[in-house]
Amino acid sequence: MSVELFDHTGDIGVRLTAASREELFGIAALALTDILTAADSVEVRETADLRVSAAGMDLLLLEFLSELLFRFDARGWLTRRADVTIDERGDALSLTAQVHGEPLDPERHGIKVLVKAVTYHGLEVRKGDDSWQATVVFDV
Amino acid sequence: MYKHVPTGVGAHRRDLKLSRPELMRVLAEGAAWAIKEGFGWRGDVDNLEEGGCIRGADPEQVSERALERGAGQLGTLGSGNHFAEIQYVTEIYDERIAEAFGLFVDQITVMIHSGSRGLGHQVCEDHLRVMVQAAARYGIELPDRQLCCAPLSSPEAKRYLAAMSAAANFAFANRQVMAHWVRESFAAALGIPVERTGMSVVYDVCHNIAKFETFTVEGRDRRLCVHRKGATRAYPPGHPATPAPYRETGQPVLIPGDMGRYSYVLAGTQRAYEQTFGSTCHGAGRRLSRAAAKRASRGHALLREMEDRGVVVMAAGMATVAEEMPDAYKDVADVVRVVHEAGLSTRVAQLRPIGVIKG
Repeated sequence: MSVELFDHTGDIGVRLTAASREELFGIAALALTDILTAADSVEVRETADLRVSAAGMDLLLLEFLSELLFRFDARGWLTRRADVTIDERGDALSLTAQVHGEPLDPERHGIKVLVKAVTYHGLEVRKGDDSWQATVVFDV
Repeated sequence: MYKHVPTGVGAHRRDLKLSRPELMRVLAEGAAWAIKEGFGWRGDVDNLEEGGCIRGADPEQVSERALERGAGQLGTLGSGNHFAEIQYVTEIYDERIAEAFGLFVDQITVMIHSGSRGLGHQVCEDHLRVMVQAAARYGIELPDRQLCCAPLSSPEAKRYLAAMSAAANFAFANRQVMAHWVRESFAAALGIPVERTGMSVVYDVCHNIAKFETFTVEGRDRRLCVHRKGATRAYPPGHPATPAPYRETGQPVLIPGDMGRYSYVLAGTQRAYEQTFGSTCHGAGRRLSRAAAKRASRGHALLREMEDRGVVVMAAGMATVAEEMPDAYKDVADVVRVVHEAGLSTRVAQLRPIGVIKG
């Protein structure tokens, strides 16, 4: 399992590697949190459910991260851990997740950068021989 | 100013809460909504691009999620490269135009850089989702899905433009509300009534927008969709869309630099109208990526270094200050010289920062 940030002009890119696609989505959620604030400053105090669907694994990742970003920007929600289940029916993919975290507390959560959006630019999810990899670029 | 204008993530003033019908009015009316609600003076909208309201905005095309993101963000500066800055005029390059703009040497000015906030990002995201599918339907091959699109005459494009215009109106109202709070903060600091601050609006421009404007192409007037991304409008003297006080000089063009050096005010030209669809540059542009700026800032006491330069910086987060440090940007004077010499805008005034608030 690895998370690697890369510079992308005005944006921030992230390359992820994990043993399973569920774990991949989980570390993607954590990577987003860590771009917004120090992920280890976020405690598990509440749990919320979410559900997204898409026509491909890359789009599913985008929908998932966009949902988390929406919950952060509109409601101040920060995710510390995401337990993800992915259901595949033909081309239709649906994801359900339990996200554990807490609402933003400006006293404890210093904001590193405000993410505007999850982009389609260079978006990729692929299955390797014994791992899953993803690339995501965030518009900041 | 830092006390009056909310900066950073999640910050908002308790005395500005929008009901859903009010938010819909903001999206339809733009800056005029703010004036009606007491955030500003009647004449303010006269000096805004499009009068602070883009026609054709349809609030119904703005999603529930965008509305939810926007509801708590009106009258907030945001983060990243957004700022509000107290400056003073250091140099006038064109006396006649500066006089028309109301600018003179040693005058105090305030520049605000902010936009449609989370509401606008959500509108973009919602419509990107539509456009990714639309591009395939219209047989458009994409080198990058982020460049997804649909023909301008398609229902998808029409809906997007109506939503984007509504987001632009939110941005106009957002800046208007903050401009008024800036006036109130000066009035409070000086112990005088707001009306006596003498703080009139010079101009307000969009720099990420597509909208319909009329240009002469091959000898005939055509209504075109002009997309200015990282560019601002620079209409020439005599253009009917230029506010009356600037009819003889061309439209004011605001070009922010970095928070340590200077920003500029320019005026639009006929040449820009003819050659660049009435557009000019918007800002300095980054020299270092955000991460590189952060690395370069390590070991620097940025706030003290800024104070040594005569600039007080107040920010919700130090990470933003590091990313936005002066060295992260190109020297805007070089950029301004190029557009001035190319005749795309006329250099009018240089403004130096003395106080900066950031998210």
